[in-house]
Amino acid sequence: MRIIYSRAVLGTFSLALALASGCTANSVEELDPTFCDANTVSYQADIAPILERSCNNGSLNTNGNGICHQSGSPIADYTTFDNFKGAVDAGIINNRVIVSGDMPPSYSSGPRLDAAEIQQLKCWIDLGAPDN
Amino acid sequence: MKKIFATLLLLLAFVPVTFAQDEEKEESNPEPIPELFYGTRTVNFHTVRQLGRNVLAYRISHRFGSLREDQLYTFLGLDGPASISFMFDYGITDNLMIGVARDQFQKVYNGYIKYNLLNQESGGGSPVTLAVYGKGNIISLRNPAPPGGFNRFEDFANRMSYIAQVLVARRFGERFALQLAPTYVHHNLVEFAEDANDMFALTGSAQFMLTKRMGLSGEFGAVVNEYSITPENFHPTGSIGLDIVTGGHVFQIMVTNSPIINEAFSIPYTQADIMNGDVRLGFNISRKFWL
Repeated sequence: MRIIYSRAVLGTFSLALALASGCTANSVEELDPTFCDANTVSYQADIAPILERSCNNGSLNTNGNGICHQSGSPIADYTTFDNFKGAVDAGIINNRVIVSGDMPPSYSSGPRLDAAEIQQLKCWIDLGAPDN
Repeated sequence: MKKIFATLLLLLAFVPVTFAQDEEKEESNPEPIPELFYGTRTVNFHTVRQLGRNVLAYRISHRFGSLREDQLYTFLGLDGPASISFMFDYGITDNLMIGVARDQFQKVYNGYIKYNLLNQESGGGSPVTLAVYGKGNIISLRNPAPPGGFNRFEDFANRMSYIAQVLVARRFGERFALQLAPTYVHHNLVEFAEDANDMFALTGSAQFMLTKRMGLSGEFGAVVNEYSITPENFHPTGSIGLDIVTGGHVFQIMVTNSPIINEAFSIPYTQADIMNGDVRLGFNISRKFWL
């Protein structure tokens, strides 16, 4: 009886060990395409470079008038955090870039935002557009 | 040449004699010393103590709410919510034990094995007790995301984590025992891409026996490598307990900073900071059955 009991215990335990045999190294951040956390998105490191590349440079405009969101732009200057934050708080960035997607416009030579960048921008806006 | 040969021969003749004398000395009284610890854990961490062959133990552990603020309103944190764990331990031989448990924290099921390689002996035997310990955990939480959200547990492996320890303990004199344990923890799933899945830690446990049936236990565990991008969120874990031994029961009340009972989670992921006075009460009760 004792032997049977011991074997049952051992068997259960081996099963638990067998289940435990897989050793992997994942992170939620890498697995989840909608992952959003203040520790992983930063205005300085993530958002400003996107603006620099696709929004802030007058030479991106191929429509002839050179009007983009560069410093001193007659429409909107997104070279400073405060200006851009103002547009975010007014809902403009969410509407034009994320919802309707008509910014940057088709006549801009700057690359449009890819899905990961749009997710990053959305995450940063959802976090309250922090100056981080 | 002859002289050298003779000297060598003489030396060789002495060597077995000296060895034989050593052996005699060692054989004279190498006796196992009394048990190093009252129980198989100091508080949360395993000790080198084995249950013994064919002994079954049932353990129940509670950790209550924080004592940091509103102590009277929460009745010293006893209003909870409590963190609870149920465990079964079984001694296969005098040097090998296994166990299974269910933790309320993350709804974890786990199984462990502990094996003593050396036992401390008096009179020229091993100066320390040496054991190896390993445990596997399975988080059984359902998908924590809202409906339609990303399921972090879609891959079953993401539910798994492990801990392995080498336990080195020594009893000093009649009353005091000390244990150090290099520790390896692996979590298959961590939060951030730059968080480490592998954590290396050191734990220390000590016990001071006030009487044969009552004593103080303490333990401390800290990760030594950089494993989190948010290190300010996590703190080392420590506990101090009062043990009361009655026949087949070991009863312990303790103050600890970690609400987590499972050491694979409490060592890297305790958020309460002792330095802020963020501690709580708790108890462990174990009952032995001789089969």
